Amino acid sequence: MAKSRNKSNDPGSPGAEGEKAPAGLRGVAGLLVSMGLVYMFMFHLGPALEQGAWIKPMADFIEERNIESSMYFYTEVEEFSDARLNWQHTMTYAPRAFTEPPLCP
Amino acid sequence: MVENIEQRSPDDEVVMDKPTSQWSDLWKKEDYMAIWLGFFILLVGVLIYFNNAPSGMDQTISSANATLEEQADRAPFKTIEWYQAMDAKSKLKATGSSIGKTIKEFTSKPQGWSGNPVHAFYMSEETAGEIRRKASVKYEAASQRAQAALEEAKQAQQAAAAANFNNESLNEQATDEIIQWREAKAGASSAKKKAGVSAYNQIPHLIGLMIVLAVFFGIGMKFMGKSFGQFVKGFLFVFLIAILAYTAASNATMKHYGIGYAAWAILFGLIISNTVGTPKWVMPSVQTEYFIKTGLVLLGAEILFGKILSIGVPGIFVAWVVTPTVLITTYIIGQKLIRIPSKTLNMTISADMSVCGVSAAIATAAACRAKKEELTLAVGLSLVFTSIMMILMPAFIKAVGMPEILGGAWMGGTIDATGAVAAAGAFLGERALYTAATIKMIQNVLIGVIAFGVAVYWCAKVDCAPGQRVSAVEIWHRFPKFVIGFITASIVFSFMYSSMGADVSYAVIDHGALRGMSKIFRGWFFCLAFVSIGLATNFRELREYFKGGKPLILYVCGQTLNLCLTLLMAYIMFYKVFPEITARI
Repeated sequence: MAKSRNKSNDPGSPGAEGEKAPAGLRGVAGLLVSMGLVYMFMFHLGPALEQGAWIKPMADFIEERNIESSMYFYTEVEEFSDARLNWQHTMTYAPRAFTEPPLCP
Repeated sequence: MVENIEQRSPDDEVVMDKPTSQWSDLWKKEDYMAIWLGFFILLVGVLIYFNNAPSGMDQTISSANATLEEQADRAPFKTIEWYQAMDAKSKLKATGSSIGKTIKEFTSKPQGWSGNPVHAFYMSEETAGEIRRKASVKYEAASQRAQAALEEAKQAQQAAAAANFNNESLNEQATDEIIQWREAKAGASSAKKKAGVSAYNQIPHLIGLMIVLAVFFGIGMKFMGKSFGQFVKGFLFVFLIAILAYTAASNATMKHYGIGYAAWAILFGLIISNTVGTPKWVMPSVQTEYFIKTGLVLLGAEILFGKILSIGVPGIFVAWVVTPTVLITTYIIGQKLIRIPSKTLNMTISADMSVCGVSAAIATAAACRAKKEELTLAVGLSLVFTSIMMILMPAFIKAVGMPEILGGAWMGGTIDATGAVAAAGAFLGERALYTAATIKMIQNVLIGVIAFGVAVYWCAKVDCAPGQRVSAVEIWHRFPKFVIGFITASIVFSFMYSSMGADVSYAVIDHGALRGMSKIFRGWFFCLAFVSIGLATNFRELREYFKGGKPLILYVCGQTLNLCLTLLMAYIMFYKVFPEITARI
């Protein structure tokens, strides 16, 4: 990724310690409030919302099947391994009713 | 990132490289360093797992394949024995070897928890025993359900066999019963894992991993002429935030919403940098690109082209026709109609939305050198829409009575995050899961092609003055070199996969070098990169990129097109062009 002109990757830039970062008590207060909001979402709002009729069935299902629903790539999710095996075998060892030649070597 | 940077014009935020290459780039530039570090991990993975193949692997494979051949000739549907033979092969995993288990234990991220965050790191034998007792009750019930489903499936199969498999109604009934048994079996397997929980203490392992990674990346920094000591000191802080991000993502409720480590890593980093400020001594370790590029080289190895050829033609059409079409159309809409001010932001959002969310966003952003704020925005949009689509799409598909396979294909092609596709697909049923997962897997493989194409396009067309002709040598100088490592890793592992055969590759590559090594470290590297992004980003800068809500409009327009085209193509491919394949699923 490109370096932006304000060089915010560097020390002293906005976001880093220094010139524009909120300092002192205001900064600490901001940190505490942010942590409080995260806590509220994780331990109160989130659990309360998932009791809703739209979300609960999916939440219960993910819990019951222990699905890694927050992962980003197929190697991180066990269900993809099963799906790949099933497809590969379905294509290679198709039941006799299907007389077409195999679709893969 | 290349050090020589010049600006096009005072008002233009896009930056470009001064094209030069030197031999010392091989150890001084992070693009090359990422390749060497990534290759080192892959080599270690190959050496370990190729020498620890599961015992009796060849016999199990040949015996299972003989059964599969026999059962394929026996009945017009996949019999119980057919599935049992497949299951026997699925247990062959090099990661199950003692060294595989040790690596997993020492590199494991924080454990799943709900209620008490301490359980992410530590669980006493007493607590584990209590959880085991409760989970055992559920496992017993799930196991009995699976056993009962198996008995019913056996009876239905026997009835079909008694009619010499010529009675269509009996065949259909047997197929349905077998599918129900498979679903019950999947439930029992999950329950079994929970019932097997044991006491653990992750803290020493995490400390060990932190030291290993600090030295690993620190050596690279030293080669690149930076201070080893300063990097290591700051790395401890970055790694601690990464642990926090993984801990938040391991929370049960957050898993239900599909909110992963990337979101938490960026959020925690942002909170620190925008409140108390990122400490100055941490900044030498805020190396977003270094971590991302090393992770991307590992990701390359997980992109196996041979694998997709064995998993179905219709999915290839759905993923490989719709995805590039949506990507290019969305990019054009972003440039011409919505007029997104930054081309790199436009491309990152387009790829993130049309391919597969966060991993595609990372690869594309690195290939076109998007800014960290642009990647943050793309990832944020993707995560919000993934959570919504994961919940709404299966509900809609059920409500309108859409066929399971069509619904699975639709979700696989449109929901961004891979894990969310698994959850939504499985929620609809086993067939929907298999179809959705296959299409998403093919999209995952497309990341390599897209990253390479974007890198070449950017070097040849975007990063040059209007009307300027760029020579091949100049393209080479400007080309992000880590992409070569990414593509090389993919080609080498795809070649190994094809030459070893699907069954052996499953055991020692897929469930060995990749899931037992590459996947683990890549996850940590991406998490460190997202923490770095958060630690170096200012809310005000981020707000600038969101001006006028243009990125949101782009995402919504692109996703709408994606939803329509994917549904249409899935219908054509699975029900008109290849109905015989749909019948086999």
